[in-house]
Amino acid sequence: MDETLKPVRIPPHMSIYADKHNLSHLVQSLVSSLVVDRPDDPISYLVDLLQRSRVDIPRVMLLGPPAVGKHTLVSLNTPGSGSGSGSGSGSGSGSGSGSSSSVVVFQAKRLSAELKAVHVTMEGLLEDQSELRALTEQDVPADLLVQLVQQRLKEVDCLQEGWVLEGIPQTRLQVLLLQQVGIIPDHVVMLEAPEEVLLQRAQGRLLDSLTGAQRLERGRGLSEEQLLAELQRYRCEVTGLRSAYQHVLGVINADQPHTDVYHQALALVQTRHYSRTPRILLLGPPGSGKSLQARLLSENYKMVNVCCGQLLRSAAADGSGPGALVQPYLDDGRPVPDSVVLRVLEERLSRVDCSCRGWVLHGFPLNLQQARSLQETQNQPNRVFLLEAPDHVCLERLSLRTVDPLSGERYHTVTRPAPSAEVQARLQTAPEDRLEEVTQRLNQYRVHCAALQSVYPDVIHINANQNHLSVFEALESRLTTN
Amino acid sequence: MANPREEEATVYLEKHKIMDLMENLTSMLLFHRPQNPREFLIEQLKLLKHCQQSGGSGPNLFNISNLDSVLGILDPTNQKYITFAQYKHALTMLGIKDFNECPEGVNEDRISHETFRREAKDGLQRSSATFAQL
Repeated sequence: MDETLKPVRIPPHMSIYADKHNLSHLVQSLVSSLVVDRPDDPISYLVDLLQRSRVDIPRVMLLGPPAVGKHTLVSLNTPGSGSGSGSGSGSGSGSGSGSSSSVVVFQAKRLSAELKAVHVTMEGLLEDQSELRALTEQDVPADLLVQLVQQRLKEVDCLQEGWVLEGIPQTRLQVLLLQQVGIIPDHVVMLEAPEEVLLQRAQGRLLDSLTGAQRLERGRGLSEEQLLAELQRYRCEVTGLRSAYQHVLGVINADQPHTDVYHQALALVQTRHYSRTPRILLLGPPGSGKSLQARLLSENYKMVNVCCGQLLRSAAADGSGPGALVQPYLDDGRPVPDSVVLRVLEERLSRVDCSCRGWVLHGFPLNLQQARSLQETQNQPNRVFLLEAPDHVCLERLSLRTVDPLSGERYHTVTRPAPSAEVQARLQTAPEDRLEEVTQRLNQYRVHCAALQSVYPDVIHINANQNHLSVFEALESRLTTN
Repeated sequence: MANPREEEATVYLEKHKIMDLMENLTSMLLFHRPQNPREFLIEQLKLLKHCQQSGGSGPNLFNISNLDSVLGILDPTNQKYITFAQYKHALTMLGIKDFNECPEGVNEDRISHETFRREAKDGLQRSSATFAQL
């Protein structure tokens, strides 16, 4: 507490703990629930909220044109879908209601079963309101609908398990009213299909009214003119809906088999965007582009780029502390023993810049033992990417690398040839890039590859056999999702 | 142009001192690092609720013995007084806002340990009382 100000050093334990329990997400959801509900007694409300089994309930809206398959997707997802789902599922598959029809309905069912969430549909909401039964869904006034939705979503089962809203909202006005009340979805899945497909589906859909299975009788489907009118109405509203939910929107092409649509929708709904300090590990054969991707990542996201080889060399040049131990090995050309590498690495990764900004590591671990020791330190990676490329691509990339000793520029015989003949004459290849060396390193990698992957069960595979920018895009898209 | 909902939200947050509450809770979580963060939070919130009703002092990271250690650092030769600059700096470090800028002894720039302890204790109590008065 003297006059000299020292920078505040947050011990790495704290950021690791915060990451492990997803604290920022927890606090954020607490505050957002408080602001939406504004209870008079926030402390008891918070206690209540924390005592519920999951803070992270799924909140999904499933939208789409008529005949696209919403209902099936939702209801296959309610467990014991009879009890949970707002719609009576006896009449469910097929055209229970006027406008929601087969594919959206189909998908809605499956999703709510998988997510163990409550399936809410328009007809479910209108079921208890006998005086409104006479009205078709379009005529239900927006504020009444919103009120019904609000009531339904406040019931205990929705609060505990989450909800999947199918086909609601349908107009921009409804969206605005829902937002005002505080019903905000985490994900909006929009199913799209070209018109001919929708028409075909509606026509082909037959319903067996007894068992609900689709057999021989023509169901209570829409006639073609009705369907076209519905579609027309939908097309008018869809741009409004899209812009309202653009930050959580995911569009899926419904012109595919049901299961494909379902899996895509499920993957979309299960992605959760967590912001956490990145601790990324890049694995992959030599030549797969790890250093390049690490450099791109650190430039774009301000994390610290830790290249193991360079780290060791700079520690040795430093000459003090653990670095002094490294020097004799580098001089002799022998590989540095694991314990020394780990010490140098740990020291680097516990520094303030790494614990605040995050890091991306490559060049370590190379085998099972090293990976296990890394897991035991407190600097475990929270994202592991495996850049996969076939052997011949790696060989080609590495063995044709050359450096111009005068200018220091790096060239590659195929992708970036030297500009002129005299530069070409000067080019040299680094000793580690010679064909034999590269082949040896590749073989080493292949031997340890499977073992390494076993230490990191949720490793994300990225195809590195493409242009480096596409690889980077693939990396980016998986960076923050769950 | 803030819409009415946003204004309502801001007013609510201020009235119930939600941001201060969240700050306190998070710092306690990060300091104690319990195995089960949600149970820990529930406990702290119950304690807070109790003190809201009975008027005692709420849960806080610092306590009286910490104040004594702070005084020990500020006044190593044990003269029994600290300067105003030290007093101000120490209170800000402890996280106390709106403390008394004119405590006893400010004119001679000698603030006694007792005054410091008193002001600090007051300030800590205020910062832990993150709720609207009932």
